[in-house]
Amino acid sequence: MVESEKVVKGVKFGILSPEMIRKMSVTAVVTPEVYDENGIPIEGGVMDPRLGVIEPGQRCATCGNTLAQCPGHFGHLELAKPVIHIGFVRHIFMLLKATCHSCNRVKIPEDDVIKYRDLYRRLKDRWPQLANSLVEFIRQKASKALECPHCKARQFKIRLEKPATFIEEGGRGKLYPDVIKQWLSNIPSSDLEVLGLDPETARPEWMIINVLPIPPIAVRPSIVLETGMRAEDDLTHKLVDIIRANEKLKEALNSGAPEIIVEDLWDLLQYHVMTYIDNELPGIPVAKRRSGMPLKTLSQRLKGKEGRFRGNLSGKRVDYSARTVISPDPNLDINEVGVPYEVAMTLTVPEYVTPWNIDKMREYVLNGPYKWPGANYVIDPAGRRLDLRYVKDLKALAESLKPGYIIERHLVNGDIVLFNRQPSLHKMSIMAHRVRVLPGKTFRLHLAVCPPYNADFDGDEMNLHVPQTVEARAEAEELLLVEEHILTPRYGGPIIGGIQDYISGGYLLTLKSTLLTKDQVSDLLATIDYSGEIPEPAIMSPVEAWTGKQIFSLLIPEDFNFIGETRLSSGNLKCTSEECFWDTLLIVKKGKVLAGVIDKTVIGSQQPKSLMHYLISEKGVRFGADFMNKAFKLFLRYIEMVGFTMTLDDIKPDEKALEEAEKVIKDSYSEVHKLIEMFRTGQLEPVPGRTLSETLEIRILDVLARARDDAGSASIRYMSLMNPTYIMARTGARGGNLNITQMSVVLGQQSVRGERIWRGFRGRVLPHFKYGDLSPEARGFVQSSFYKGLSPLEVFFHSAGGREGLVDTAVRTSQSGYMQRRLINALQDLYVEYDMSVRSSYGELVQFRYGEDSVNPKKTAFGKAVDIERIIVKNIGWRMSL
Amino acid sequence: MKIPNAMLIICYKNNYSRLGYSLSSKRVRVEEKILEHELVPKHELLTKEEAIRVLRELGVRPEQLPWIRASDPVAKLLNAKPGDIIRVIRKSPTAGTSIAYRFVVVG
Repeated sequence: MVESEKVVKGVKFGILSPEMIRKMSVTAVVTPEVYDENGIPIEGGVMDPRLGVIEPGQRCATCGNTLAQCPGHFGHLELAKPVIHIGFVRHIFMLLKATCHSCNRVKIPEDDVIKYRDLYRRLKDRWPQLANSLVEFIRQKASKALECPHCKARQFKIRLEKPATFIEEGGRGKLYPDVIKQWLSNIPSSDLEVLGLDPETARPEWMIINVLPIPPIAVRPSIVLETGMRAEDDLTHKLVDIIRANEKLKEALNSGAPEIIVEDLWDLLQYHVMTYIDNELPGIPVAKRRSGMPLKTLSQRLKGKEGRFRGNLSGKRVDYSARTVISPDPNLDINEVGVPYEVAMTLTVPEYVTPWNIDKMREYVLNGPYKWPGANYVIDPAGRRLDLRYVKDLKALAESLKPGYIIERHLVNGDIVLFNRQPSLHKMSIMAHRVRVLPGKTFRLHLAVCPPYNADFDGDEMNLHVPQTVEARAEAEELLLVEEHILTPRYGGPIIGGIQDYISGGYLLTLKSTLLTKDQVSDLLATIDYSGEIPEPAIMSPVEAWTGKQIFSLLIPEDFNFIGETRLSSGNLKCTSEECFWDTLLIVKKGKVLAGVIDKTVIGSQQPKSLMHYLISEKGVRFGADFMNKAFKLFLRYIEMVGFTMTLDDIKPDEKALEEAEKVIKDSYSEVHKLIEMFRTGQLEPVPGRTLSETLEIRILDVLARARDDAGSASIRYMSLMNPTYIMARTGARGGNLNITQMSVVLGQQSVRGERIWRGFRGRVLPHFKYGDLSPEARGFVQSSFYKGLSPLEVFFHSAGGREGLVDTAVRTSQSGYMQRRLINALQDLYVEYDMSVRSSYGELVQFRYGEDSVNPKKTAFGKAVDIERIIVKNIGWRMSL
Repeated sequence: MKIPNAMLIICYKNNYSRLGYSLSSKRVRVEEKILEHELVPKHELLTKEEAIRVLRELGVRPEQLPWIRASDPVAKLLNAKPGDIIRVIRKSPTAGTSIAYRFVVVG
């Protein structure tokens, strides 16, 4: 039974009319009682069996379907008196203002109404925005009229008293919902059109509720607690409240109760219907459960992050996914992910049995669900799903496998999976990896892919998803695999690259002084599965020795040229010519490293125009991934060979260095005191646009910052070039000169909001200082180093400064997260058309050419389409200017 | 000394007429000179034939172009009416010069 396919042409929203509500209702709800004494739902109550199936096995009293098939059915409740629908208060207010209280026509002369209506009809489809502003204009014009142009009646001012009371000032006073309903229903349909309403689907009198639809039970299921008690849904509670209030009002009306009592009961009914729709209305108390928890009513179900839209429609929880802590594993390839056995045996991939894989499939089935690599389910050609946990004779099942069966087998090595770390801020936050099933309970990943995920291992968790169809796997493999994302579209450089020990290791390996014996060379080459010839040794006698540069050169293709300054090329180690002694200019010709060392600017991540960048962009991403796998393993092997660590002694300042640094700081202190003295005597010249005291602060901050830098560089001058801390700072592996300074010489000025710390007591930070003391040590200059240790006062200042950083990151992430969300919502459907223009999904032009030059930044060096410098170096291996 | 133009700044409540002063009628309105400013890109009004050609080239309906209001100072200077199309030629950091189009709408 195949019904003809229908295409959705559009969706139109309107208001349900009372007739419609009665028509779709299967039963009128008449009693606030829900269950009788036996716990059976009462007919005519809110849990009436005709509203849908509650328990499995039951058949629906209305449609005869079982729980799975029955869609649920609406009931209805006749209200004794109409109430205002809180969602339409603004519309009702507008209509009351724009129409006449006596003849109920829109307060625009007849001729104009016809004129506007024609204009509106012409604008509506082609210029919706203009039509809206026309409507807005008409509404305002109509609301301003003091006299009705049709019946000449004088108009009163209508006031809205929040949340839902309308008052006609000078006229009838408070307008009751039944009066308003009468008024609204008298507005002719032709007038409604110029007010922007569609009378076909949204007659205004329908905005006043006199028949309330009772949603099906499926919408508000009751939960049976362990104690056997029934807990009803919030909506059910609210509906009972409404019915109870309605009953009371009905009684009062029938018995002819005084008007005040009727009005009170009417207001109560209005309150319950209002909170039934929205329980977060300003100005009225929220309806609460007995526990004091606010009720989650209709509006609360839809709104916000966990609401129906953002929580269940835009984002969903999915099957075939896993999440756990991540940890590093340098032995993996960069596009691999280590998956624990436990996860691999829970996540499955459906695989068709074919004549070519039937043996493998039988093996999986034979292994069963508890032994890796096995299978969890077998689906036979008829579509029956067999759970292997409950199959007694796996052997027989394996034997009976035929092509056409589908095996849901465990994850095995080489499967493609998507790997993700939140926040998913750019496309590199979700990449496809190849599975490597490993013991342990964490996901393992290569360190080089930490930068794109922004991951570290201080407890980070990541998600893993298994594509279930061939198409999805193909897409993941072609578009999402890690190597496709080595180059970032942000600036075209590699975002995946060497970090930390890879950089130190590369540096140590390619040092001029590194000489390797044959044993060492063999060891190194074995780690990267090198199978070619060992090159001729650089030194033949007394023993054969190879340089590290030779070993690294084996990874570079023979037709590759590169020249570039390294990070070390600065200060007195600067190299500008090929004959430079300091070895800080990297020269690669015909795939051989002739001079220079490896550091962050050569193989580092997020370093555009580096050796790594050009290797990848010229030799392809597959080569790039392979190069990284091998080079990084090589560097790590070498760093393990020579040993690389950091100890306390490495940051111990030299005696002479300390002396020098102390002198620098002492000098700066006297300079600061001189400034303070000048300030006190009024000799200080203020900086334009600043007050005198601001000027003083700026000058002091400047002097102290300079003092710290000078003291730092003085002590760094005394450091050995082979000091591991210094190597890390120079090569860019980790830390900088500032960190070395802070560890070994002086911590420097601590600041809050870019100012010296001054908050605390009146005129001083702590009671240990004199009132109004402006000296460096009283305002957070820490003279000690981490090596020396901080005094209690210094610790206080240091933590005040450190706190600011924490607060800042917390505030920044939430703000930038919201901005990101809005940006992405605005941009997500834009695409580049074949004519290179950027368009919205409606075909509107956003940009006439993508980026105005239609260049893909991923295929450029820093956004430039053509990199002439590089073309020269690439072809002749020589650069004109350095 | 001859003063050809002058602007009178009076330190009083904004009520010139009561004081009996009137401001110079020769004052040049800023809006009339914006096209000469270096930061304002070159704008030209397309003829009907050109407009049709451009629309065909881009494969769009006129309202799918970005809009400019007829009350926009530039549109007013070009004397552009709703339904016209304006070509904007501007300097671009990536492409040297780039061309964009604007569809004039009521407003």
